[in-house]
Amino acid sequence: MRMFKILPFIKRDLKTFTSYPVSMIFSSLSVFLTLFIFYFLSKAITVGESILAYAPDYFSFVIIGIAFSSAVSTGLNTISASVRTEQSRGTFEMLLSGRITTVELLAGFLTFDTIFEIVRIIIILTLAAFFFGLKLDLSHCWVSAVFLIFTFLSFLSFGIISAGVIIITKRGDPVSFFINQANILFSGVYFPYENLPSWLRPISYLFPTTYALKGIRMNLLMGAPIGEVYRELLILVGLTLVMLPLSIAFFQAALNRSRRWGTLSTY
Amino acid sequence: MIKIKDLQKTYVIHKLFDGFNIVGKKKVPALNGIDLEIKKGMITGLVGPNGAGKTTLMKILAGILIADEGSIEYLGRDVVNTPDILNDITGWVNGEERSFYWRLTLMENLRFFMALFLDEWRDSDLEDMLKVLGLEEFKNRAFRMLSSGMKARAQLARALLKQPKILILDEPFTNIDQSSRKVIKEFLKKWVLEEDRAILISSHHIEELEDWLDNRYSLKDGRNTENTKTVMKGVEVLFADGTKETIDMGRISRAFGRSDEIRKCKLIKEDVLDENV
Repeated sequence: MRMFKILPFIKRDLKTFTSYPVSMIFSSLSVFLTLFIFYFLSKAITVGESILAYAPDYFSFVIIGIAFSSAVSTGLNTISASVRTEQSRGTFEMLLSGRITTVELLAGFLTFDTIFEIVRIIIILTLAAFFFGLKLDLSHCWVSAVFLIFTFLSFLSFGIISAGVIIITKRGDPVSFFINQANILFSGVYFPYENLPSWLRPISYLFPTTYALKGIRMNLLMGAPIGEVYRELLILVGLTLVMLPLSIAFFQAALNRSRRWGTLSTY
Repeated sequence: MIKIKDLQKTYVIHKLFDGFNIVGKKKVPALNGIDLEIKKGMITGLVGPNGAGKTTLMKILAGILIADEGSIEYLGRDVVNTPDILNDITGWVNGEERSFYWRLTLMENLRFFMALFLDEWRDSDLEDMLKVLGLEEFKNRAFRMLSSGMKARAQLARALLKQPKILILDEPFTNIDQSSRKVIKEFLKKWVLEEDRAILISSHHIEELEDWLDNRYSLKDGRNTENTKTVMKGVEVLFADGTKETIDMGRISRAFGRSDEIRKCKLIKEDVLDENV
């Protein structure tokens, strides 16, 4: 029986990651630094009603925002970064000469970083809970896990489109960068989107993270069960179901176009 | 095994501006109607200057590029627009040592590519291949620490381990020393004779491979210029008593009558027009 070819990518990426021990140590230490920065920042901030609607204090509010938005960034950036790296390494054409499908290739690019990000979220939340007094309500935490999956998948669609753009135009990073920054501004990562001027607020509703962070904060910090956050979840699921197949089709079309143009390995 | 007819490929470069001029698309022709045949059990050489279209042709055969026009007939079917089939039947040495992961060891690299190329494979096949190519003792060395010659051999190992029908070699012997070249050439000569196999090779030093090629195509500006094959005309034999004798292939048994007196043999070859092409 033919196996889904994803394990070789995970092994390869794990070996590459561990072959840079200094980077490994510093990326672990940076988690601690982030927690310290926002812990002391939260001590200097007086929270308003808009934050108290989601969290007991600013530290809890912002840590959830940071932890889960980094997962969003992974979905958005990993595929395009991988395509770019493989092209500049000279391995992209060789990968495409393997007997793998487009979905396997995309999953291969993504899986290690995704696992790494999930571990990172768990570490951030655990450290924040043990050392900085973050109080999590884990009674319905599976709801947050479902939110995380669909937020990730909906942003992954944008990431796959961005990778397709890179294959064709050789430039796609500004697209991801713009979406990333706009996501931070509009979806309530560092502050509630309700604080935006009323004429800007409708833009927030275009970002999947707005619904995800709202649902995750209410679930993890206020103990809200599925019944209270299902609307946000349904919007995310709907977005994913529409966007993901479209983005994969776009990526495949970009690969075919690049094969015809003879520009697969150029960057 | 594979018949290529009137193959054409033009690269399209999308460039909006060239200086202050609006360019849009720029077309660079690479293949202008190539005809050739890769025959079963044979080693076919591609000769031509830089920009002749050798690498483009090889990339099309490896399923990395898609041709614009023409046909590639394999088992009676035109596969020019199905790169997946071409991918499946070919093993490609692209002459690019960067096409590996330099942080991984040689063995880790080959295991990774094997897992992508094949549905089932064994570590022992890999070990055997490393032995043949003289890479066994370097298998656990980081790829970045291998010499250029070893990296070239690693490319060959990767292509062979894919178990291809057609081995496509783009400058495979660059950086490989003479003694290793000899071993590899002998190995490939045997390899190509097994089952349904063929080799297509391009090299800037094709004259060094003359005695090894079964036929040869010359390309220039994306076109065939001549289709020749190398034919063995005879053997020039130097005997122990200092006498020399030229024996044509039809009467070669004469020399073996005095085989214990032979000091040196030299093959006499001639390039003739291949009328079958």
